[in-house]
Amino acid sequence: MMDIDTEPVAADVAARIVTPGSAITSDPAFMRGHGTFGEGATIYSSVAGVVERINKLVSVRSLKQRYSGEIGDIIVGRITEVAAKRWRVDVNSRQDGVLLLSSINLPGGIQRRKSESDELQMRSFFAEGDLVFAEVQSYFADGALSLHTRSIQYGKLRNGTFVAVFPQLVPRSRTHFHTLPCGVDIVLGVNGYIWVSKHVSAAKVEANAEHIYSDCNEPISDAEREAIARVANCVQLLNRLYVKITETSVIFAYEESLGHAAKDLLSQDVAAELAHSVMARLKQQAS
Amino acid sequence: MSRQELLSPEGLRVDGRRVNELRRILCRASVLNTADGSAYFEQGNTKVLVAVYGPREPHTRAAGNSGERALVNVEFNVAPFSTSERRKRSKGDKRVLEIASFVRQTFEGAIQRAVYPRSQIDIYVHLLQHDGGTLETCINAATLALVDAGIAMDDYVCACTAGFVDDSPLLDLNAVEESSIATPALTVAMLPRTGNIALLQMESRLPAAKLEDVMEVAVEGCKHIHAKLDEAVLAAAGDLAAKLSH
Amino acid sequence: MASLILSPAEQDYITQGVERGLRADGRGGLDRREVTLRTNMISQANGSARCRTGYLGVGTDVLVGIKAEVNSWTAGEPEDRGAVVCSVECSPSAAQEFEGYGAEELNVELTQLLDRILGGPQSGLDLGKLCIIPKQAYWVLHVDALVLDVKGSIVDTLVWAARAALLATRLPRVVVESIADEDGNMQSEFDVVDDAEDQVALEGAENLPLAVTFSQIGKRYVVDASEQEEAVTQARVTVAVSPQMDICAIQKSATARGFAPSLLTEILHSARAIAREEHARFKRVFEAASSDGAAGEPSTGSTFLGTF
Repeated sequence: MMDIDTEPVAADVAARIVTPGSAITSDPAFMRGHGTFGEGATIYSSVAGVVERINKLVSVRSLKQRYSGEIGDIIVGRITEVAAKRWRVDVNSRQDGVLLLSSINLPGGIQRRKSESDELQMRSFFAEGDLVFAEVQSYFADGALSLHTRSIQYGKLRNGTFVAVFPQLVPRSRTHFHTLPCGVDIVLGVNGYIWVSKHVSAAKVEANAEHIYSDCNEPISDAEREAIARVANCVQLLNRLYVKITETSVIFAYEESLGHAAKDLLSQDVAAELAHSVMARLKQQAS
Repeated sequence: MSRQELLSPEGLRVDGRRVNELRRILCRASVLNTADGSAYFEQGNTKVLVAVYGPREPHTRAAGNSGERALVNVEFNVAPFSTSERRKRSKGDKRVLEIASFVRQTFEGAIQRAVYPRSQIDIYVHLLQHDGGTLETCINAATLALVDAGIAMDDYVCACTAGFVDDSPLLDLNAVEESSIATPALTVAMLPRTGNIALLQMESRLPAAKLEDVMEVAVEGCKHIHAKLDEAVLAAAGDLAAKLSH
Repeated sequence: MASLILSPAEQDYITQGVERGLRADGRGGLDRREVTLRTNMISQANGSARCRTGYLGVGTDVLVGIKAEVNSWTAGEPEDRGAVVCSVECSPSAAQEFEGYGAEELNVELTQLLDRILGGPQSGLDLGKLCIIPKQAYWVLHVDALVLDVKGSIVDTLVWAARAALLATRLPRVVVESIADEDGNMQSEFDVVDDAEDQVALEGAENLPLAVTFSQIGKRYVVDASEQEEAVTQARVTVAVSPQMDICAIQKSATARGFAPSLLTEILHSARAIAREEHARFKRVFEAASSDGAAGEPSTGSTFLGTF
């Protein structure tokens, strides 16, 4: 059994990995957090993962798990169902999220038409399959996430392609929307859903305020399309390497990838080679 | 097969093992990359592949789903090429459903279902090759896959079979031994930390006096299997942790 | 095929990309993804192969096992040849909707398609050599496929896996003895030799075809469609081509529309050119799979233990 009090607290210590049923401590001073359970005086782990201690709270962070939402999270979700005054949204979690009609932007000019059925009007905003960039505003009583898109940068996603990655590879940060130096926009959803698209300037977005629910893409040039494919493939590569996906790591991967055609980035040989050079750059940056 | 053929005078079984020898175990987690968790498990010539999805949105909002605890759903698929005589089993095959049901009940007890209200955990088990110990290998493989998926459990669930021939308990029966009338076949699944028995199943006759001996041997087998599973989990976890720390 | 719902914007992005020859993952219209192949992981089967089409360990994933059985001939069956019977089952691990009986329709469709390609003399296998004693006994080869994951291009992957499994198949040798009985008629008996060292490969297995599936998206078509591309595919044609460049089978499926005859002709031309490349690729990949450094390690394990 590990005695937590003597464990060094330094961040780079290979923190102890425990497995289900492992005893962590019997010290009564500690409280049980995620990934643990108590029996008698002892705290046990319920998952395979790394023990974390914050003051008196002991928890085990499982190395792989579904997304668990927190208020303020910036995510990408896919509409799965249109219901009365709300949409169900797949957010890669153990329950679908909910987007209420009252939580979306209704730009000037779109009046609620009483003559049309609610459902028809609902579909004029979001329909099944649509991808939405949103923020977690609260929880429902049953634990489902309640989303909102009430800022101009949120809403329906267009002009690009979708990639899914392990949620634990997307760290929570101040911003989740980035314009990369190569001219491609990327949305890094904390839930592991990523959107890679043609860059559209903020000014243009503002100017098109009343078309925020349009399903039409901007015209996209071949060069832009190639760049989008390259970035999307880089994100997939970082995912399979189990590397944190941030603006920096994506830029590094993009730059290292330029010696190869976009379509070749995911083949075994090229991927293995890129893995080396990307990891090297990340290590260099960390030191 | 007669008693004598299952156990030679020198104490060797049909595959050359001694009475208390486990078959060779090979196992690994994270083998199917789309699933939330997965595992491949080989015990002797029996081969099982498991994919776990969840916790996720339940696919039927069925009445009877209490909602407060995760629903555990198990589907068991027996490949037609898995047995020495090829046989395609229907989805409604009684034996297939029975094993799925045993696996489900076993894990309903071990998974901390209250941690995942209003969701569902799907365990898809595939038997790729059959050489005895079907239920035991399915349970062992499923444990590994569930741990791989990061699903909270009270403990590992480790299972093993045992039999009895010539006054000797026999550990870990292969297909020849299992199908022989000369020995009963007992399957035990336990949670190693407390020693609690999660599942106990036997299909033939065993003198009551011998039950304890056979159980003891099976439980020892479970402990060995626990060590193997733990090794595989630590290997996969160590690998991921190292990658993540960059 | 399994339903993936995309937004109108995604569908348009994919379609426009295909029409400009720049697919979402950077591929050109005729570029195929990587194939990973392992053989003989099911030691109790006569042959087996696992094939994955995709990238970095994620893709359409098929496991095929071959079991050979001796059948007694009954009147009405062909008198002097054996048979190949296919069966495909999709696991719920590939899609949640495949649970229970959810995959029945797809299983039937894929089974029939595989049977059409492999189930008769058109497959290239020498079915005559599978006859043990005419009008008495013959080998049946059961080709059973388990689909573990679907990420587009399921048919092409199935055929790759089946071809590899059949090439890796070894049958026990059969000894046939014929003796004349009292009336001077020849009576034949056979004996299956139980010796793992004395086994035979399938005659004609090297003639087996590969399948190339063309998916029409907008005004163009692509080969080896991804899952997303299949969601916007309007019509699909699968062409099976032998190494000798003979067309063994053609099947059109999917639904929104038909193919213009001129497009079909173009596709058939394309099919042979692509099949030529695919057969060459198959040869390389198959040789590597068989000589996989699994000598020290049980070969079963290595199928599922790849890094990517």
